[in-house]
Amino acid sequence: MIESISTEMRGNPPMIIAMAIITIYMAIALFAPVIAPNDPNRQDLRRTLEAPSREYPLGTDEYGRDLLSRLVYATRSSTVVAVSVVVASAVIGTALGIFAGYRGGFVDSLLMRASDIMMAFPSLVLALGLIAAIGPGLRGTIIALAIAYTPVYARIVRGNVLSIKEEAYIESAQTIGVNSTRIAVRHVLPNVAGPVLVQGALTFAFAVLSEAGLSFVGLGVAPPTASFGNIIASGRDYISTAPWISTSSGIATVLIVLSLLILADGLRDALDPYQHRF
Amino acid sequence: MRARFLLAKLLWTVFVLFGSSLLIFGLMHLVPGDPARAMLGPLGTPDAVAALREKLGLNDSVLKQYTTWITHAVRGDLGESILLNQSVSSLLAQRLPITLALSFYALIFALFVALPASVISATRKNSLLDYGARLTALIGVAMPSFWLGLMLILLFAVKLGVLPVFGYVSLREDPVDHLRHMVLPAITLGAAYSALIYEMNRSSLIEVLQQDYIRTAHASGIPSRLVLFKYAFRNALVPTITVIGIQIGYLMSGALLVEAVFAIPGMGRLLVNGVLSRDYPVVQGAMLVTVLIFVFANLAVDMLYTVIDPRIGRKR
Repeated sequence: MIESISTEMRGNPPMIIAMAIITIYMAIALFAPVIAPNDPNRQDLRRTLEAPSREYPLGTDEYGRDLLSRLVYATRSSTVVAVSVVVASAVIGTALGIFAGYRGGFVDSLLMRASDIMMAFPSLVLALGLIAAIGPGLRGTIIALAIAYTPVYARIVRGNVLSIKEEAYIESAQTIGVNSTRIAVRHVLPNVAGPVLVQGALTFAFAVLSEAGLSFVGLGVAPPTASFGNIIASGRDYISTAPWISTSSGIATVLIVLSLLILADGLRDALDPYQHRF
Repeated sequence: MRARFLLAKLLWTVFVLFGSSLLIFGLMHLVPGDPARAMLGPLGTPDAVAALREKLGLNDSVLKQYTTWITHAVRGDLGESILLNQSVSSLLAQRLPITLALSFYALIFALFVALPASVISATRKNSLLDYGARLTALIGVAMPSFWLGLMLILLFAVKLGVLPVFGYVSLREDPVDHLRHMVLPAITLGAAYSALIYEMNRSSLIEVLQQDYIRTAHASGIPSRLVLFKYAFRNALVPTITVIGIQIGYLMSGALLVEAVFAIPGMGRLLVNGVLSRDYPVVQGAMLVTVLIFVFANLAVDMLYTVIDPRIGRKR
């Protein structure tokens, strides 16, 4: 798998750039306290809505807070949400998908019908409904988005398991009496890793967008904690006088999401050549 | 055969609607603790909580609560909004047309951009124009809609001063002003949708153009334009329509955010405010309507298939 990814990358310069951008984002998120030049929450009411300058490269917001530092911390919020959502939905979805596909029968139909129903909701609307139940904030956003994205993994994995199940090596493992948990982990899981990885990159992108959207309407990451969405929201009221507030945060979001989409596309070409793009 | 195909789809729709209603109902019972308590917040006195519990029927069995809710909902009674002191169905009746109008304009914009662009891209595959269009589409998907909206406001309303920024004017009040208010929101909502339609139609058109019957048509001297539009385009459209149908859900969730940017009093804002203020009857009502639209849009797409490609539904 790693081999086919590195082969793909050699002939795909945009994918290399995308990987580099994603790595930089992760590093910013991880080392935010070291990278941020100022405290992201320190207010200075004498210096509000200042345009970008030497001291404040991205300007200040309505409370005189350093926007660059806030953007650094927003990268952290965004990454925390997205990584948690991707890991939780991928692990749970893959487990359910393998279980449903391998077991078949009643459990399979029950799980698949349940996923059909969940997928009848646009994922952001489902996430909103879940947030209504769980409560808004960072934790609510993570749980809601993780639940909303789980059915996609379950379906993709199940589909793959159904075809893998018929392969000779699985049958021979069954014949010599290997127990089914071991078959699932040793033989089925490695074979579904490719499609799960592709979906992981896509979910990452959508989770970043959804978190930004939810925070924009006030249901995601709550101020004063910085997030791409709530910085854009606070800049909305000053769009004519201080457009730099919303602009920089939006560009940061576009960059990371674009990189993730390019990565997902490259991974798909490398690992899952039969899938359609997008 | 075709009737059977449609009947199966119809049964499927009924099943999904039933399941979704269970899910929407269940969400309110997922609330940790007492939903009545949660809705009233710290200000709720024990008496007020008890009264609200009684009003919402929370003292009945779960089964009874569901049957009461769903039988009322089928008759169009979705309960009362806790916060706005108005029935949920009358709220939805005011707000839904606004969201539908916005989505309709967004769809028109998306098709208007995506279809010509995809034809240009597919017929000039791997040209500079094609690369440019594909990159634009990718950025379109990556861009948060609400941010694009703000940037459009900055450009067209603040800098150029040509279009109104906020609010909504109804079609009946002033058709011209209505459209002027809808231009920026429709572009904002339609941008990513357009990118998805473009990408799908481009790849499906490229695939169709490689088919033998297209080569045969060219070989028999039929003008290229006619081959493209009469033979290729129609066949390429089937997967594209699937994307259009599936992504109608995208329009509904995109509207949540776009309405917030432009202060449009549509259903999306109603839902977001409902969640913010824990106005559960509103949340349930708005979610139910969203699913209804989504499911029926997909049903309509299935029916449209059989018109565009008469082979569908006849196989087997």
